Amino acid sequence: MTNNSYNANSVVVRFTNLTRRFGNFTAVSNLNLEIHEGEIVGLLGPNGAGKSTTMKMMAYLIRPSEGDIFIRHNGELERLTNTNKDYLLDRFGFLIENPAFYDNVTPRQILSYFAGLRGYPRNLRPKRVEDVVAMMGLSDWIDKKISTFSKGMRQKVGILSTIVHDPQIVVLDEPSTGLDPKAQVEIRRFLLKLKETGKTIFVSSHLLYEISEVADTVAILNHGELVACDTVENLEAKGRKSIIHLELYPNPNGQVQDVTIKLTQLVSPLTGLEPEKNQVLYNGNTRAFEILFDGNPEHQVQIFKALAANNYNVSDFSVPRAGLLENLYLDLVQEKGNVVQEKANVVQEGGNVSYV
Amino acid sequence: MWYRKKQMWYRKEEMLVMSDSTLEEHVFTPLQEGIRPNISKGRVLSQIGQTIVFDARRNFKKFIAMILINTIFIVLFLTINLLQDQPPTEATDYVVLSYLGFISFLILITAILFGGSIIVEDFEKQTGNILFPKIERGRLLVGRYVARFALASISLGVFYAEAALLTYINYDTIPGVMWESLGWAILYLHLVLSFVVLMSALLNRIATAQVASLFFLLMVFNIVSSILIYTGSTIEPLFILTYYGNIITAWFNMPPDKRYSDSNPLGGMGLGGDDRVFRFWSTPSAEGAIYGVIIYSAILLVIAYLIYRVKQSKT
Repeated sequence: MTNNSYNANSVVVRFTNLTRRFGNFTAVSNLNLEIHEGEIVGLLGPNGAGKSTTMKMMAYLIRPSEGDIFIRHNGELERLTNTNKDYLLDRFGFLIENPAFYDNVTPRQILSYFAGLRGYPRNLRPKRVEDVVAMMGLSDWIDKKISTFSKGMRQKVGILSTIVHDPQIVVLDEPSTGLDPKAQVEIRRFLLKLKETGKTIFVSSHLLYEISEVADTVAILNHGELVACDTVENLEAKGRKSIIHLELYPNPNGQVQDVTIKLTQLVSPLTGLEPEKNQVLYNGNTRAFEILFDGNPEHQVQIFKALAANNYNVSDFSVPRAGLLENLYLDLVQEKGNVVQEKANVVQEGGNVSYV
Repeated sequence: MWYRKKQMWYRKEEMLVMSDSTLEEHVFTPLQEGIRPNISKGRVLSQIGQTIVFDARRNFKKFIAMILINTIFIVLFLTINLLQDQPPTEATDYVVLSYLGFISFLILITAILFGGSIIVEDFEKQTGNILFPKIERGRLLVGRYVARFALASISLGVFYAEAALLTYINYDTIPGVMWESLGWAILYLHLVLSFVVLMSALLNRIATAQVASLFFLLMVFNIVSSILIYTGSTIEPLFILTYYGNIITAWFNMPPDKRYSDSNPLGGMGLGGDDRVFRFWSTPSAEGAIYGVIIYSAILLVIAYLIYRVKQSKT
């Protein structure tokens, strides 16, 4: 359960001891989670953690083996069953896995069809479709065949199909998978804009950065179990460690090893951490140094001052938001015995290759 | 000049690509509660209606293609008729029948073209995953079926209309029985389409569903029918789907009571030599055809629907 300021009446979805087994394999185990109105909840976990299974149970595509899902309706939390699923899920928009569309239709046709299926008023439908398409900046493509679209554009149309009927709760299963960085940024911005309009968003991903940038609450799943659930800030505080992203000008090509050793000697006493191996690393992909520290802003300032005092030409000095969370995430995943492979996946997908 | 036009076109395309990355801020205002739709009230018919319109639009190209195929058949038969001696005026039924020589095959092609993808497409292209929360599959199936059946029927109607037009041009008359035959053709189309829908539910690829339908309708049913005949069966083969297609042309000269003939083709050909008699059924009766098609197609469609639901719940 989250430790944030939401009250019980703001809960719109509640999972209680939710469990799903496939034969002997338990995909989701005793999941307890609350989603509050107007917040973005990120469901984070490595591949096979049970994220999609959770989403599918929420959409009533598969039934829980044990436990219940409660959804708020007319002020009360109602248990999701076969008999009430239609009206309980009416206010939901789901995007489960990769959306696929009929190739020979246009976004206008397909979105208009979906809006119609969900009962959106006929007279308002054309404008609604144009509006949601404009939300994603796809107005110029509204009458072009989907067969001509890139994967990213199809994904965007998929996301639009979840909101075209104006649902109150939007459920997105890995919306950024397979997209280029630019499209990922656009989708994150889109989610934040949706939140501003009062939507509640439940988004799953194995991309830590994606979740940490948009989610108010992060739920971390591993092997079907909820290993952490809290606000991003609280989780960061628990993470203790963070990373400073440091770029020097000119880039010390050919002297990376020497500079790394000098930087380690300089900043190690200031990081607030016990001296350890690889406290300063050079990331060849980003051409930047990464300094591990305790996340304390005071130490961050001291490190910066030390660099300046020692005449390092700093062109970039920043702490990526995902940094703290990343460490906690890796620790949690590691604790559950999912050691090297998971770490490799997550770090690689987060873009920081050097820790592996 | 041509080069400049092409350059401009490329530039325009480039601009379109760039515009896809722009998030437009002004449209993020939340909808007013007053215009928020009440989406929970009786929408079964609405969903079916939406699906009919959407699916009809989506299959419009197939419709055009089918009309072209029909026209090619008409031209082919017209050419054959022109090459032959023109039949006497009083034999207009014969002329119309000459156009309907391949009507069963044409119906088969029409049904496969329109029905082959009706269910399997959702699984082959994973398009089923975009319709969550679950839209009742029965509504989707009904909507799609109505749309495709309507388009297929119209294309069949166009074929008859073309044949009627040519008959009228040559003979200044159109036999009324032709439109009754069209009625039987549409009824038979419904049956064949139902069978193709079942194949589409059973199989996992559009092409497989189409080929399997063709195989069953062209070969399997005929083989079963032949086996029945040569095992000395005398029961009317109402369970053989293709048998119902016979009434389309038989209706022009419907036998009043006896709709079968007893003979021994093997003996006649000098192959058997025995005196066994085999019963060859030429056509079902009007009542038999109506009830048979309704029951047969209902069974096929219900099974297809159940398979559709089971498959959907597994994905």
